[in-house]
Amino acid sequence: MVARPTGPRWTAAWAAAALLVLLAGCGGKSTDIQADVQEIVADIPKIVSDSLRAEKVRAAYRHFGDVLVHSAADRRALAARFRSLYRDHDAPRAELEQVIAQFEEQGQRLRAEAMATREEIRGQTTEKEWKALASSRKRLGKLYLGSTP
Amino acid sequence: MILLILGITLLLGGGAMSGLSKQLKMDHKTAKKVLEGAPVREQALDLIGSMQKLSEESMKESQKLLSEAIKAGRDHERPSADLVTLTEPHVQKIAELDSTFLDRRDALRAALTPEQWNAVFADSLAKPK
Repeated sequence: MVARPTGPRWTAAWAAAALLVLLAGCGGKSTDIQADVQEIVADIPKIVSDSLRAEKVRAAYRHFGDVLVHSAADRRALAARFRSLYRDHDAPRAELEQVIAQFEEQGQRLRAEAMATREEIRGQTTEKEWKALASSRKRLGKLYLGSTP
Repeated sequence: MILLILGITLLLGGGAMSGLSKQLKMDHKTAKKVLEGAPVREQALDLIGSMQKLSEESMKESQKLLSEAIKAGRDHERPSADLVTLTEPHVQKIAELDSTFLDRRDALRAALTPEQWNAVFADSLAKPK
Protein backbone atom coordinates (compact mmCIF):
# COMPACT_ATOMS: atom_id res chain seq x y z
CA MET A 1 0.00 0.00 0.00
CA VAL A 2 1.31 3.42 -0.94
CA ALA A 3 1.67 5.87 1.92
CA ARG A 4 -0.51 8.95 1.53
CA PRO A 5 0.25 12.41 2.85
CA THR A 6 -1.81 13.28 5.86
CA GLY A 7 -2.41 16.24 8.15
CA PRO A 8 -4.65 19.28 8.12
CA ARG A 9 -3.08 20.95 5.10
CA TRP A 10 -3.31 17.88 2.96
CA THR A 11 -6.82 17.28 4.16
CA ALA A 12 -7.95 20.78 3.27
CA ALA A 13 -6.20 20.59 -0.07
CA TRP A 14 -7.81 17.27 -0.85
CA ALA A 15 -11.22 18.53 0.14
CA ALA A 16 -10.81 21.68 -1.94
CA ALA A 17 -9.75 19.62 -4.91
CA ALA A 18 -12.69 17.35 -4.32
CA LEU A 19 -14.98 20.35 -4.29
CA LEU A 20 -13.62 21.47 -7.62
CA VAL A 21 -14.03 18.04 -9.07
CA LEU A 22 -17.56 17.64 -7.85
CA LEU A 23 -18.81 21.06 -8.80
CA ALA A 24 -17.19 20.83 -12.17
CA GLY A 25 -19.09 17.58 -12.54
CA CYS A 26 -16.09 15.68 -13.82
CA GLY A 27 -15.32 13.08 -11.18
CA GLY A 28 -14.24 9.49 -11.68
CA LYS A 29 -16.13 6.37 -12.64
CA SER A 30 -19.16 5.12 -10.82
CA THR A 31 -18.54 3.16 -7.64
CA ASP A 32 -20.86 1.18 -5.45
CA ILE A 33 -20.56 3.58 -2.55
CA GLN A 34 -23.16 1.80 -0.47
CA ALA A 35 -21.23 -1.48 -0.54
CA ASP A 36 -18.08 0.38 0.45
CA VAL A 37 -19.93 2.14 3.27
CA GLN A 38 -20.83 -1.31 4.58
CA GLU A 39 -17.14 -2.24 4.65
CA ILE A 40 -16.27 0.89 6.59
CA VAL A 41 -19.18 0.34 8.94
CA ALA A 42 -17.94 -3.19 9.60
CA ASP A 43 -14.64 -1.76 10.88
CA ILE A 44 -16.26 0.57 13.41
CA PRO A 45 -16.42 -1.97 16.27
CA LYS A 46 -12.62 -2.25 16.03
CA ILE A 47 -12.40 1.45 16.86
CA VAL A 48 -15.36 1.97 19.16
CA SER A 49 -14.98 -0.66 21.83
CA ASP A 50 -18.39 -0.45 23.47
CA SER A 51 -20.84 -2.47 21.36
CA LEU A 52 -23.84 -0.27 22.08
CA ARG A 53 -22.01 2.91 21.12
CA ALA A 54 -20.42 1.19 18.14
CA GLU A 55 -23.84 0.21 16.82
CA LYS A 56 -25.06 3.80 17.10
CA VAL A 57 -22.01 5.07 15.24
CA ARG A 58 -22.54 2.43 12.56
CA ALA A 59 -26.17 3.43 12.17
CA ALA A 60 -25.17 7.07 11.82
CA TYR A 61 -22.59 6.23 9.15
CA ARG A 62 -25.07 4.08 7.24
CA HIS A 63 -27.72 6.76 7.35
CA PHE A 64 -25.40 9.49 6.21
CA GLY A 65 -23.97 7.27 3.47
CA ASP A 66 -27.51 6.92 2.09
CA VAL A 67 -28.07 10.66 2.36
CA LEU A 68 -24.88 11.35 0.42
CA VAL A 69 -25.74 8.99 -2.39
CA HIS A 70 -29.12 10.61 -2.92
CA SER A 71 -28.01 14.19 -2.41
CA ALA A 72 -25.11 13.88 -4.84
CA ALA A 73 -27.48 12.71 -7.54
CA ASP A 74 -29.90 15.56 -6.82
CA ARG A 75 -27.09 18.07 -6.75
CA ARG A 76 -25.69 16.95 -10.07
CA ALA A 77 -29.11 17.17 -11.68
CA LEU A 78 -29.70 20.69 -10.36
CA ALA A 79 -26.26 21.88 -11.45
CA ALA A 80 -26.82 20.47 -14.93
CA ARG A 81 -30.20 22.19 -15.09
CA PHE A 82 -28.67 25.53 -14.13
CA ARG A 83 -25.86 25.12 -16.66
CA SER A 84 -28.39 24.54 -19.37
CA LEU A 85 -30.78 27.33 -18.32
CA TYR A 86 -28.35 30.21 -18.04
CA ARG A 87 -27.44 29.77 -21.71
CA ASP A 88 -31.04 29.56 -22.85
CA HIS A 89 -32.21 32.95 -24.07
CA ASP A 90 -35.85 32.08 -23.41
CA ALA A 91 -35.28 31.01 -19.81
CA PRO A 92 -36.75 33.67 -17.52
CA ARG A 93 -34.85 34.81 -14.44
CA ALA A 94 -37.56 33.32 -12.22
CA GLU A 95 -36.76 29.86 -13.54
CA LEU A 96 -33.07 30.26 -12.71
CA GLU A 97 -33.97 31.66 -9.29
CA GLN A 98 -36.09 28.60 -8.70
CA VAL A 99 -33.14 26.29 -9.43
CA ILE A 100 -30.93 28.37 -7.12
CA ALA A 101 -33.57 28.13 -4.39
CA GLN A 102 -33.77 24.35 -4.85
CA PHE A 103 -29.99 24.18 -4.76
CA GLU A 104 -29.83 26.09 -1.50
CA GLU A 105 -32.74 24.20 0.02
CA GLN A 106 -31.03 20.93 -0.81
CA GLY A 107 -27.76 22.27 0.60
CA GLN A 108 -29.46 23.29 3.82
CA ARG A 109 -31.01 19.87 4.22
CA LEU A 110 -27.67 18.21 3.66
CA ARG A 111 -25.88 20.51 6.08
CA ALA A 112 -28.54 19.80 8.70
CA GLU A 113 -28.17 16.04 8.15
CA ALA A 114 -24.41 16.34 8.34
CA MET A 115 -24.46 18.31 11.55
CA ALA A 116 -26.98 15.94 13.12
CA THR A 117 -24.81 12.97 12.16
CA ARG A 118 -21.69 14.66 13.45
CA GLU A 119 -23.47 15.41 16.69
CA GLU A 120 -24.65 11.81 17.02
CA ILE A 121 -21.17 10.40 16.47
CA ARG A 122 -19.53 13.03 18.64
CA GLY A 123 -21.84 12.00 21.45
CA GLN A 124 -21.05 8.33 20.99
CA THR A 125 -17.27 8.54 20.79
CA THR A 126 -14.37 9.50 22.97
CA GLU A 127 -11.84 11.95 21.64
CA LYS A 128 -9.45 9.07 20.93
CA GLU A 129 -12.08 7.12 18.98
CA TRP A 130 -13.08 10.27 17.13
CA LYS A 131 -9.53 10.72 15.91
CA ALA A 132 -9.24 7.05 14.99
CA LEU A 133 -12.37 7.31 12.86
CA ALA A 134 -10.71 9.99 10.75
CA SER A 135 -9.19 7.50 8.31
CA SER A 136 -12.53 5.89 7.55
CA ARG A 137 -14.03 9.32 7.00
CA LYS A 138 -11.31 10.07 4.49
CA ARG A 139 -11.89 6.76 2.78
CA LEU A 140 -15.62 7.33 2.55
CA GLY A 141 -15.02 10.80 1.17
CA LYS A 142 -12.84 9.37 -1.57
CA LEU A 143 -15.37 6.70 -2.41
CA TYR A 144 -18.06 9.33 -2.62
CA LEU A 145 -16.03 11.39 -5.01
CA GLY A 146 -15.31 8.33 -7.08
CA SER A 147 -19.03 7.79 -7.46
CA THR A 148 -19.66 11.20 -9.00
CA PRO A 149 -19.75 11.29 -12.79
CA MET B 1 -17.29 12.75 11.68
CA ILE B 2 -15.14 15.64 10.77
CA LEU B 3 -14.05 15.13 7.24
CA LEU B 4 -16.87 13.01 6.04
CA ILE B 5 -19.52 15.25 7.47
CA LEU B 6 -17.93 18.58 6.85
CA GLY B 7 -15.82 17.87 3.85
CA ILE B 8 -18.52 16.27 1.86
CA THR B 9 -21.27 18.52 3.06
CA LEU B 10 -19.36 21.64 2.29
CA LEU B 11 -18.13 20.10 -0.84
CA LEU B 12 -21.75 20.35 -1.79
CA GLY B 13 -22.03 23.82 -0.35
CA GLY B 14 -21.16 25.84 -3.44
CA GLY B 15 -23.66 28.01 -5.26
CA ALA B 16 -25.54 26.98 -8.35
CA MET B 17 -23.05 28.75 -10.56
CA SER B 18 -19.87 27.77 -8.71
CA GLY B 19 -18.75 25.34 -11.36
CA LEU B 20 -19.42 27.41 -14.46
CA SER B 21 -16.10 29.19 -14.80
CA LYS B 22 -14.68 26.89 -17.46
CA GLN B 23 -17.90 27.00 -19.41
CA LEU B 24 -18.06 30.79 -19.25
CA LYS B 25 -14.46 31.05 -20.41
CA MET B 26 -15.50 29.11 -23.48
CA ASP B 27 -18.56 31.34 -23.91
CA HIS B 28 -16.32 34.40 -23.69
CA LYS B 29 -14.05 33.01 -26.39
CA THR B 30 -17.01 32.30 -28.64
CA ALA B 31 -18.50 35.75 -28.05
CA LYS B 32 -15.24 37.36 -29.12
CA LYS B 33 -15.54 35.70 -32.50
CA VAL B 34 -19.25 35.80 -33.21
CA LEU B 35 -19.76 39.41 -32.06
CA GLU B 36 -16.89 40.72 -34.18
CA GLY B 37 -17.86 44.21 -35.38
CA ALA B 38 -21.04 44.38 -33.31
CA PRO B 39 -21.45 47.57 -31.22
CA VAL B 40 -22.39 45.52 -28.15
CA ARG B 41 -19.27 43.32 -28.35
CA GLU B 42 -17.29 45.02 -25.59
CA GLN B 43 -20.27 45.25 -23.26
CA ALA B 44 -21.11 41.60 -23.84
CA LEU B 45 -17.52 40.50 -23.26
CA ASP B 46 -17.39 42.51 -20.03
CA LEU B 47 -20.60 40.94 -18.81
CA ILE B 48 -19.54 37.38 -19.64
CA GLY B 49 -16.15 38.07 -18.06
CA SER B 50 -17.89 39.35 -14.97
CA MET B 51 -20.08 36.24 -14.83
CA GLN B 52 -16.97 34.10 -15.02
CA LYS B 53 -15.36 36.02 -12.17
CA LEU B 54 -18.50 35.62 -10.07
CA SER B 55 -18.41 31.89 -10.66
CA GLU B 56 -14.78 31.77 -9.54
CA GLU B 57 -15.58 33.90 -6.51
CA SER B 58 -18.42 31.58 -5.58
CA MET B 59 -16.07 28.62 -5.80
CA LYS B 60 -13.50 30.39 -3.61
CA GLU B 61 -16.18 31.20 -1.07
CA SER B 62 -17.17 27.54 -0.97
CA GLN B 63 -13.56 26.59 -0.40
CA LYS B 64 -13.22 29.09 2.43
CA LEU B 65 -16.35 27.72 4.01
CA LEU B 66 -15.01 24.23 3.59
CA SER B 67 -11.59 24.83 5.10
CA GLU B 68 -12.89 26.86 8.04
CA ALA B 69 -15.51 24.28 8.91
CA ILE B 70 -13.12 21.35 8.52
CA LYS B 71 -10.66 23.03 10.83
CA ALA B 72 -13.32 23.75 13.42
CA GLY B 73 -15.04 20.38 13.05
CA ARG B 74 -11.89 18.46 13.84
CA ASP B 75 -12.34 19.41 17.48
CA HIS B 76 -14.29 16.66 19.21
CA GLU B 77 -15.38 19.03 21.95
CA ARG B 78 -16.84 21.61 19.62
CA PRO B 79 -20.63 21.39 19.24
CA SER B 80 -21.97 21.14 15.70
CA ALA B 81 -24.15 24.22 16.27
CA ASP B 82 -20.92 26.25 16.27
CA LEU B 83 -20.13 24.98 12.82
CA VAL B 84 -23.52 26.02 11.49
CA THR B 85 -22.88 29.55 12.73
CA LEU B 86 -19.46 29.47 11.16
CA THR B 87 -20.81 28.56 7.73
CA GLU B 88 -23.68 31.07 7.66
CA PRO B 89 -21.74 34.13 6.39
CA HIS B 90 -20.29 32.07 3.55
CA VAL B 91 -23.67 30.66 2.60
CA GLN B 92 -25.05 34.21 2.60
CA LYS B 93 -22.19 35.44 0.43
CA ILE B 94 -22.73 32.61 -2.06
CA ALA B 95 -26.42 33.57 -2.29
CA GLU B 96 -25.45 37.18 -3.02
CA LEU B 97 -23.06 36.05 -5.74
CA ASP B 98 -25.78 33.91 -7.31
CA SER B 99 -28.08 36.91 -7.40
CA THR B 100 -25.42 39.17 -8.93
CA PHE B 101 -24.75 36.49 -11.52
CA LEU B 102 -28.40 36.64 -12.56
CA ASP B 103 -28.19 40.46 -12.75
CA ARG B 104 -25.29 40.15 -15.18
CA ARG B 105 -27.16 37.59 -17.22
CA ASP B 106 -30.20 39.92 -17.38
CA ALA B 107 -27.96 42.74 -18.59
CA LEU B 108 -26.42 40.48 -21.22
CA ARG B 109 -29.85 39.36 -22.33
CA ALA B 110 -30.94 42.99 -22.69
CA ALA B 111 -27.81 43.87 -24.68
CA LEU B 112 -27.91 41.04 -27.21
CA THR B 113 -30.53 40.16 -29.78
CA PRO B 114 -31.81 36.57 -29.55
CA GLU B 115 -29.75 35.75 -32.66
CA GLN B 116 -26.56 37.14 -31.12
CA TRP B 117 -27.31 35.35 -27.87
CA ASN B 118 -27.78 32.02 -29.63
CA ALA B 119 -24.61 32.54 -31.65
CA VAL B 120 -22.66 33.06 -28.42
CA PHE B 121 -24.15 30.16 -26.50
CA ALA B 122 -25.10 27.63 -29.18
CA ASP B 123 -21.49 26.57 -29.59
CA SER B 124 -20.95 25.71 -25.94
CA LEU B 125 -24.38 24.12 -25.72
CA ALA B 126 -23.40 21.67 -28.41
CA LYS B 127 -20.16 20.65 -26.72
CA PRO B 128 -20.07 17.88 -24.15
CA LYS B 129 -18.89 18.88 -20.71
